[in-house]
Amino acid sequence: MMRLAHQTLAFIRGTVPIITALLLMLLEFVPYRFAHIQAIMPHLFLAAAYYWALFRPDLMGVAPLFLAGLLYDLANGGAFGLTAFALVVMHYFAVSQRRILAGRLFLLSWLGFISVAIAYGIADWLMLSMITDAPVKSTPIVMQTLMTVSVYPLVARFLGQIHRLALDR
Amino acid sequence: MRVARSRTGRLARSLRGFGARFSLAISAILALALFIFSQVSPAPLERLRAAVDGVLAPIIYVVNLPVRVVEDVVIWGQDVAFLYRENIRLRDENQRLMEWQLAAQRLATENSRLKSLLDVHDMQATPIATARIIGQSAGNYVRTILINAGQNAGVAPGHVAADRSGVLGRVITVSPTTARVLLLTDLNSRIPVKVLPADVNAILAGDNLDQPMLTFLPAGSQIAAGDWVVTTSHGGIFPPDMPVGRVALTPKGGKPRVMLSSDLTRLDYVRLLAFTPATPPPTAAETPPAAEAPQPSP
Repeated sequence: MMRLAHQTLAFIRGTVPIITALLLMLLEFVPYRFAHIQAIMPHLFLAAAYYWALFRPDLMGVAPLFLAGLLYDLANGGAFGLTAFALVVMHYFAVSQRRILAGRLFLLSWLGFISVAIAYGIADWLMLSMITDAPVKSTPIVMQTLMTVSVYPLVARFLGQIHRLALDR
Repeated sequence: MRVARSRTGRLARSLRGFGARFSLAISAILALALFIFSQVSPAPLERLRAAVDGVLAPIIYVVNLPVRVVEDVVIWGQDVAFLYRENIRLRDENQRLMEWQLAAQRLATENSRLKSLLDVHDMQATPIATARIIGQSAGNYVRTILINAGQNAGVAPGHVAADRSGVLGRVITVSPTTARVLLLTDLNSRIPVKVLPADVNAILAGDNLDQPMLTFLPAGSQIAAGDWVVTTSHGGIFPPDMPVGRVALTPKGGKPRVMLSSDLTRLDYVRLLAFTPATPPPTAAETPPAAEAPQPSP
């Protein structure tokens, strides 16, 4: 009986990363009543996915990230599969550079995320330009990337608290 | 013994590494394959999207609750801070609106009298539902909103979404309880419009920026900043003469853009309208017998 309870608890704790990432994803889809926030909405989901892929790749594997990416594309109405692809590539980057990025120095993990966000922004711009057959205005994408990069410390702090409380970091 | 164990350990590690890389490669390829498939045949994807919207809507609604509380507090604070100035502005505006109301009443009466004289068959837009916005798209790809009325409320793809200031877009997918509206600013939005007073037809094309462009304007058309842009019934999608916005100042050489009447960045509720293009006037067989027709009073 105790063992069963233990296992259930472990399972629930194992789902914490994906649930928090999904929650931050939903926050992107909430209708805000403040002007122009939609266009520069920081990519909270990307930040959460990066955090967990970096610090708990055992709990945020490629498969859940891939599925969450598909869900994001479905709910957002964007090009289906591309966010999933971007997240898989991001996962590879985070895990392969883990020794450097997941150290004690927060700045390094932030720098890692900055490169992820910039790469994501460039891919976004290329894809949009390809769809429209002409180079699109880059200001909204630059603004969104800046927002995403600047909220990362907040997201990382919030997830870090959860990490400590729920997963005994 | 130790050598053997370390060898097995290494083997296991490299196997695990191989497995991880393999699943990575498979996921990446699968994602790209899904992307290509969705481009080739979008229909099943649209159905899946509608289903996902239906499932996510109540969850987004719950996530939105605390956000709304914070927003309400901030908006209340702003309102209180600007109360005095706002009051003066409103009094001024009220004065002007009173004058407009008189003019509007007179014009409405005149309009209906002239219409009845000319026997105009009006094209009707039937109100279907009023719905609350429960979600929006994020990022740069799309400009859509999710609303809490769907098939059950009679909403169908093609219905027009508007708020009190003007047209917002049209419904693209529906689930039983939700619908997704493609906003006029979306990259994929193209609607027929008319610029007044020049009475020039054009296509309003979105490109994900705040102000959509006027395209396919006839050469040499005389339009200026501040001109009204309204819908036309060309193509049978929109009811005619609904306000869309006003022509914005155009930089030299650029395409004219339109400042939309409704503020897409702070939407709350939308009205959904079904538009049935004009039906031909009833034929002789359908007209009521002369005896039943109202007799003109002597």
